[in-house]
Amino acid sequence: MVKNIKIIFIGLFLAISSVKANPTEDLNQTKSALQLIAKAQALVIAYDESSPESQSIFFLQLQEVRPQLEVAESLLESFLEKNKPELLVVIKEFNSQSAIHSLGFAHFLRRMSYDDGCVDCSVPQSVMDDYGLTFNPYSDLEIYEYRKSISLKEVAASRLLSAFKNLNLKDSEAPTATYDWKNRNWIVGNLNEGEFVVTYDDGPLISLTEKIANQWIASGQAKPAFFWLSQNVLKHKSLVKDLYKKGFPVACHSERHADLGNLAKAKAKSNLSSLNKNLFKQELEQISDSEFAGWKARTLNREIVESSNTIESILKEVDERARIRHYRLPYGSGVRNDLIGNLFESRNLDHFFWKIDSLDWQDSSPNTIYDRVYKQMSQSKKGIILFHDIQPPTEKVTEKLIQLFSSRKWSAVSIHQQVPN
Amino acid sequence: MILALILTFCSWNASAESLPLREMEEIRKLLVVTRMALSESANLKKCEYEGLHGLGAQLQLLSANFFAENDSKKISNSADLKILKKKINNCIYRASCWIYSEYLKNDDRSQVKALASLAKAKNDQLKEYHYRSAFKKIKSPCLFIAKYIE
Repeated sequence: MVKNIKIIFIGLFLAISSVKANPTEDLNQTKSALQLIAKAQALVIAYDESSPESQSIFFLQLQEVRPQLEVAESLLESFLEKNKPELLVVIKEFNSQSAIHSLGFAHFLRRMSYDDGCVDCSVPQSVMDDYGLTFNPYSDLEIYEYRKSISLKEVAASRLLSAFKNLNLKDSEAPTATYDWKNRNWIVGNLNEGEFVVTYDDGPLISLTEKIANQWIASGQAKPAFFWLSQNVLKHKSLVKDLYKKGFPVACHSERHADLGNLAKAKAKSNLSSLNKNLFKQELEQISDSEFAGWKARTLNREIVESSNTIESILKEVDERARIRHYRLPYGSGVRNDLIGNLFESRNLDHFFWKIDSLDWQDSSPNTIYDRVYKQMSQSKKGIILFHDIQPPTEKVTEKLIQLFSSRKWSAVSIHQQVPN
Repeated sequence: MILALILTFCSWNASAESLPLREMEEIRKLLVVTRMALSESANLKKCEYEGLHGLGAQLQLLSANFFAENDSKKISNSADLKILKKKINNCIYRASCWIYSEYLKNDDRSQVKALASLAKAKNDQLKEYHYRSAFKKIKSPCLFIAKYIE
């Protein structure tokens, strides 16, 4: 549908431009396109700089303009190609530097309307008013400097960022933050150079998890951690207990792999993503909008606290001292959210993100998965590695990874070395 | 003028097609940029973004939402099938085979199953240089991923 709108829009644009030679109308259309692009870029920056609670507001606004953004960019390029090809080259180069620079599009537009150059060009007033920009991020002098190949990125970025920091973006409904996200969200952690923590998500899967585990046992290397879904753990209790007894660290990855970041930010059923609407379909059908807040709190608690308790209770059948202390949010979604942080705090959980992503869920070739992991390991030198013990190619990749660790160039270390269990 | 009006008119006829192609293209672009960010990060050095390693999670989330949204819609007519066939034929060049393979995998109609199987086979043939080549054709990758960087 959006594609059709785009085609129609471009078709109409061509029709209009073929009727008249006067570029004024083109300029007006392009001006609208530029304002939209500037607005989108302002939203991107506002999103990055706002509090987690307020981010949802900007994200929704951004989603609204996204369908039109491509059309706007096409219009802009068509116009410039026809009227100001030399300017298009400059803009493309400028834009490739950073998203922040796209605000400069508006500035270029103003320049174009003056034959002899612009003395005092600025971002359109409406954009400045809407987004609280009280300065002109691109003066003519700076543009000239840029064209002399002197980067203005730091100047422009610091001006924009300080302007957004001055905006009052705090959501009055935001909970008081108690969780220390900075120190309890592990990506690289306190590993030494050459040390890696291997982790597997989403299992257990009876046909695969055991094979992967057996490879690690045979290798004699430090054992990887499994971040499992409690709904899967309940289906394979004996495997879970067996691997725990053999020394594999077990951690929690929620109950059913929902997008908890989206859930935490949602203020109504309609704010939920398609994924969450599908996963919670039956429950959502039974609650009204006024009951949503209560349901959301219960569901977040179930996905974080209760699912951790469920796994822990199964491990306690083997070892009374067993505890779940490590958690990974599905899709890593919800990091820095205060609602989620408060639940982590109350359950005393550390969050484990990752530094090295295998993308084993998307790639069917063990060789390319391994190469990708190896390249990231070479670059990062240390960090947490992410695999999935429900993806068939992962078994073969594990074999190659163990061989790599056996060569003693790098070593696998236990997750307990980061956070004692 | 006439040509432009014909183009406008034709676009109304094209509205019979119901595939979510724009969303597929968004996933394709994120997939290509993500693979470059993870395997060949020098390509995105100029972006100077922190958190490129989190792009995989964003890709997984975008895909999960897309497939959740479209699972019951799928292909509604022969025009869709024709478009998909053409796109799958070119999918190695655009590094987009995985999206079509996933999109079609739960459809039991024989014609669709054959297409899904073709997309999967082509996806298995993809090498990193195909992604590299597709990456080079993405305009302003830094601008594109700005909204996905945590």
